[in-house]
Amino acid sequence: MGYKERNDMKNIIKVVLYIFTCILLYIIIKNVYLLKELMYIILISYIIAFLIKPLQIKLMRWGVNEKKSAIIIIFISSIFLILIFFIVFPSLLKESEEFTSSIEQIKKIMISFQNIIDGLGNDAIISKINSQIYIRTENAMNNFSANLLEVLISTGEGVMSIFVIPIIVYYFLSDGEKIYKNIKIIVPMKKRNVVTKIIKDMNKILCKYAIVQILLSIIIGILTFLVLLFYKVKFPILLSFLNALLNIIPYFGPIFGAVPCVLMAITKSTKTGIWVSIWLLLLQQFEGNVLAPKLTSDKVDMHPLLLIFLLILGGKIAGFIGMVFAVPICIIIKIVYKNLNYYMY
Amino acid sequence: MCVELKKIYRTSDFYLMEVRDVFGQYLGYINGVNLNINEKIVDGFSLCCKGIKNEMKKIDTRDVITFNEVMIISDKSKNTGMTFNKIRGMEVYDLQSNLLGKVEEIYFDFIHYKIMAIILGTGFFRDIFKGKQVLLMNNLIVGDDNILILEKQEKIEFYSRVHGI
Repeated sequence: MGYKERNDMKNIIKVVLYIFTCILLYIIIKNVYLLKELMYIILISYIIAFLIKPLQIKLMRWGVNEKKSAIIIIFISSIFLILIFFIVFPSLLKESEEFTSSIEQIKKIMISFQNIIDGLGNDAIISKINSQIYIRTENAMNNFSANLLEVLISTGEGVMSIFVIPIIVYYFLSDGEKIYKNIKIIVPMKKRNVVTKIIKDMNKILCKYAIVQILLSIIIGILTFLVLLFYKVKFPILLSFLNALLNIIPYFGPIFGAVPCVLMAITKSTKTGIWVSIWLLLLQQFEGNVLAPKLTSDKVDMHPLLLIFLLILGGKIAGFIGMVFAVPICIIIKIVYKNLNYYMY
Repeated sequence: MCVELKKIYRTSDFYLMEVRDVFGQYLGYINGVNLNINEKIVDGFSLCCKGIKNEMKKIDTRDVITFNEVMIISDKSKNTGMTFNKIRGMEVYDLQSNLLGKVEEIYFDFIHYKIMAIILGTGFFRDIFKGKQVLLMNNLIVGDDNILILEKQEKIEFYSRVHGI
């Protein structure tokens, strides 16, 4: 075996070993409960630190120390979250409890709609489709209210994590560079330049994408709240929160978010339902045609068809979380491919 | 990080590069490269301004003082060059109407910003096994939809082959 063949064999063995180690680590982390819990806390802390980092950079440009700026930002964010927790959270919990009783009203509307459809003709197929739609919608609504209550209650149960996360976020912000340099030791020396470049590019693109998505969701949430408040629709906080949350998902999110608002508005009166749906449609058009092009960077640079496929795939794999993370994961893959393509040729 | 001084650059070297003015103020990042195809030079760069508004401006190469990890410019003057994205993906044909590949990158030098060559991509696996063909700019005519090679370089063919990272 010549020198070149031996070198190639070595490289292949190295790559296989790396992949095998990653898979082994993933299996261990997934199955060992303690490690899983730890990884979740670290991941959530990292995401929060990642989102807050631009604010820290801005404070540092004004001359504030790295550690002091981290403390200031965490302090302000904690106060903000505590205010939300004590003002919004109880109303959200109360509304979600009452929402289950309102589902009966929505069911009555669906039954009356079903009767209208049945009255149009005696076609067995149409009747079957209609009853399937009713059953699935009923299940979805029951599951939604049960899951929402469970999520809200379990958020209160994770008190330990809530106190630990700000501390971890502080260390990620103040000593992030040191941690990053120490983690880089895992990467082979010759590849460190490539990995550094990939991580730098990922930071630049993902940071702006995440902040813009959150900003758009907050704006949509506030505007939806104002619309529902004006038309005196029940559960405005819960519905606007839901619409804001679902708005993070491109293309499908606004539709998923608008449906509960419209259904709730219809329980008040048909006229309110129509007005709310018109206003929500105008909101979505404003967000899609005015706000988003101004705020969203074209660095994402993905064809809308590809985006839709990714969202469907993400939804099938991991539900709502999958749909939220489908686009960032695709951005990461695209950046890695671009950089490898650059360095390989 | 060890910084290399290169003589030949590609558009990817400038993508997402930070831009600052002479006072060190952060202006934005580079989003693209502008070309003057008639003179076969890189005319300027597209600057995506800082902030949420995402304003796009163009900077001339004459305003570039220096660049490395960060580009320093003297002034944001107007530049009307065609962006590289317009020719990226264009198909390249020879005089016998044979499709040679699609434009992926350009090579240009950093002193005069002269475009030296175009890198073609043919396909994922073909690029890995055979490499990406490099065509010199002298023999090319850039059209609206495609690029034409005037004379086929039969004596020497340039390829950029896969090598270690």
